[in-house]
Amino acid sequence: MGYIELDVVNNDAPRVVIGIDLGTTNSLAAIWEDTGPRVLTPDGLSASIPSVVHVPAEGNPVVGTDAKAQAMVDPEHTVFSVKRMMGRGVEDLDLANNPLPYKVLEDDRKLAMVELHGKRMTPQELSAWILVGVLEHARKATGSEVAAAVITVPAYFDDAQRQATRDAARIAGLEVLRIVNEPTAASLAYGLGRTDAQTVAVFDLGGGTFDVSLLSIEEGVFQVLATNGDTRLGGDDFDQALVQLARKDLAKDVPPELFNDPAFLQAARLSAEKCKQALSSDPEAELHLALPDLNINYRRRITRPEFEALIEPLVQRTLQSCRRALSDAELTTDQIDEVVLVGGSTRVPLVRAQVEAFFGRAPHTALNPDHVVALGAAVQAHVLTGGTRDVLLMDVTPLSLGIETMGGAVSKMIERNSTIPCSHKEGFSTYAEGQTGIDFHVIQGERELAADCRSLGRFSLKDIPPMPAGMARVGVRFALDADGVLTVSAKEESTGASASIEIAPMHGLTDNEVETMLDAGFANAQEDFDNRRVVDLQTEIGTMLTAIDRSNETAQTGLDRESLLDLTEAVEAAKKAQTTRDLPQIQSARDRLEQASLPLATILMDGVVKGAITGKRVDEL
Amino acid sequence: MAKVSASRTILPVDTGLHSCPHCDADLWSPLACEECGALLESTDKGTPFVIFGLERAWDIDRKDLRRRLLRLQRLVHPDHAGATDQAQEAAATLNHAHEVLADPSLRANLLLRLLGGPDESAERKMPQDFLMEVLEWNETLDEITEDEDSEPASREARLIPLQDELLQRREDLLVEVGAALMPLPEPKSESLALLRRRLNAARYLARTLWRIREMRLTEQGLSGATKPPL
Repeated sequence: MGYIELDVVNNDAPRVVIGIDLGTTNSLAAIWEDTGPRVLTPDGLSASIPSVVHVPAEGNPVVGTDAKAQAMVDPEHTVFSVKRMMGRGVEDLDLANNPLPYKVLEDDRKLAMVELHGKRMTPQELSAWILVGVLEHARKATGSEVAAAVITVPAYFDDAQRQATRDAARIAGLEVLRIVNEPTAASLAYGLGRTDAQTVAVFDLGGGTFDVSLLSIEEGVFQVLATNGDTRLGGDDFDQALVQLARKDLAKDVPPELFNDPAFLQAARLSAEKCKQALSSDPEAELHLALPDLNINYRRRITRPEFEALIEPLVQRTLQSCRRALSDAELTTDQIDEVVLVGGSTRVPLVRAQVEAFFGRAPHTALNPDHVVALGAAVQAHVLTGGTRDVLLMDVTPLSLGIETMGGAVSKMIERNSTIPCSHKEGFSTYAEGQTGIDFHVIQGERELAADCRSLGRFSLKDIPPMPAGMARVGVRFALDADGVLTVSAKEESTGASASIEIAPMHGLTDNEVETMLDAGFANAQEDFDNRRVVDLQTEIGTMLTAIDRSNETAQTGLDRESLLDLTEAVEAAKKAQTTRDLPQIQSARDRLEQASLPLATILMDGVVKGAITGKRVDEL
Repeated sequence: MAKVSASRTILPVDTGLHSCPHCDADLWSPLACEECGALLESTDKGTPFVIFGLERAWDIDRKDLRRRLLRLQRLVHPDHAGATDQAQEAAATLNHAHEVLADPSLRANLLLRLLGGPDESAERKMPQDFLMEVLEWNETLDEITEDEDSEPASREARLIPLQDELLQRREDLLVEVGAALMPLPEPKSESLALLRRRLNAARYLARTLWRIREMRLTEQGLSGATKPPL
């Protein structure tokens, strides 16, 4: 990093906003720069951060590549695919068929949680740690603190899953500008700057979720026409197919309890992932499991046709979603101009072939399927911070919203694929004399019976003025905002009194709980980052001092008396700060040194310009 | 950017709001002012026609409607106007108004209501001749549904002609509805009862077409066939 920047005049620190793809398998950050978005890649590190959290017995969790490395060392405390638990209950995880190496349980609100070292952590907290890791990554790449971000979620995420994502960001202390659907974000990256009007299908197969969205892109307006998907379908399931194969082969030689051993589960998953990836480029690959402690040394060659036979039913499910989306949008495949592939799992040759056959055209593959969502999120972050008014996203809610009626049926209030923001007002009344409260159950889904839909929670209206039975007219407004998240407000119409609403969320946290987590858990995180910050700042000071020292002669001869004095004193203060661990002191010494070196920088820059040397750091001259 | 069509620039009189309270420019929608971008306060925004600055009419230029939608979206969408309750409500109102005007049945229903015609609970019948066709269609559908032994392909082969027939009938019906609404009938005129019956028929067709679509999707899912829908 160059501290003697070329742009010496502008000292305003701009508000750094980024886009974050918080993926099941990998997370990614991107930022808007002048002409377009780019993924953030701190020097020497790759763009993507594995969405893995390792929780040690003591100290703060570790995230990313370092955490992934712990999978075999400490299998019971290395959590992967947290996204699959967000806004879900244990039943949704189907643990019988997909056992996990770490302990998962749920509370009475059916909120799935992980128990590590006897302590319970919610998926929201785990995701918050991943976000903290992403923010660190971004800070390294940009040299600034991230002020806010746009975070993406699968289009098919329901309200509980979206809320969980917002909660995770809050716990991580990150301001969320917007939650954007992944296919919509991808379409932004694809359609930015295009002038022709198009109808586009975005086929997004990630690690844990599948979405297909049909959009009309015209004059900077990205309008979702319909969306469909499956939040329990992704590359992880392709891996599991291979794991099942291994289990079958090993069943005769290995006791069944072994198949639930954490070490086995982690190893099997990782080797299946490797094998799957190899099969994308080779016609044959090996599934290899070496676990000497468990007496397992398993090798099996698997051909691409064999693998494809295993995953065919999964791929068919994605095509069925495509059919539903086309049906809802009243479109045929002929009317689709372009198919954009998103997500690492679209690299699997069978997926590409089937998508091409279904839509009758070769998919657009110029964009990196791993990066396109983060890039789109960065564009939206730019839009939301006033960067441009040329882009407008019109998204939809993926699931119908309704209330459970007497007898357990569903009364639909908002249809799926309704453009958001949208709202619906429903009238309620009391049936007992003096009744001051009304309870109702809100659900999301397409089924006829509430029991078959996703429960968003029980809502209690309170403080209704006491009246004769049936007299109270309570208007309840259900609003879906631009994030696709539900808010409910109520008013007793005849008196105009606002009824208060208490929500007992299903699969979710209350506001109080989030606050508590914010205060408790992440206070320690701050300390940890302070320590890292000290190290980083000391390094910066060191580099600056070296550069200044090298240009000492120029400083002595070229600077005016005041500037030279200023610089000398700042150098003194910086050298003193180098001996302490006091963060505020170090921070202020660094800032002061930067300021004081600006006049010197100007002189050197003139020299640079005259010498027509571009792109070189001053200390490289 | 294209200007809105010249014949409809001024807000209809009944809303009582003609110029922007902030910048005094002419308003064409009660939601926001295009000149200064201000979101406008008003408890009752008016009918979907008013929201879009359009006269009450059956025939709507769909392209014009879309242009107006995009112009208003840029003004009221929370991404551009700020994530406030006011923007949220304005955007929700706009989206709902668009949904109603863009769909022929919903638009006809709205006009019927504005003209003081009977709603569905007051008049439930469908046109007489239509009832005969309904009986036949229901019979055919029941046959197909109950025939568990048949191959998915043969069910599909029977569903498609039925679907095509219903789609055609829906188009014809909408032409009849359109003719009845151009020019707009007098408020509370007697022709409105017939219009209601026709709209009830349209609703039957929509529900039945939906039912067929669901049956076909289930077939395709089971058989794994990659036929294009519809």
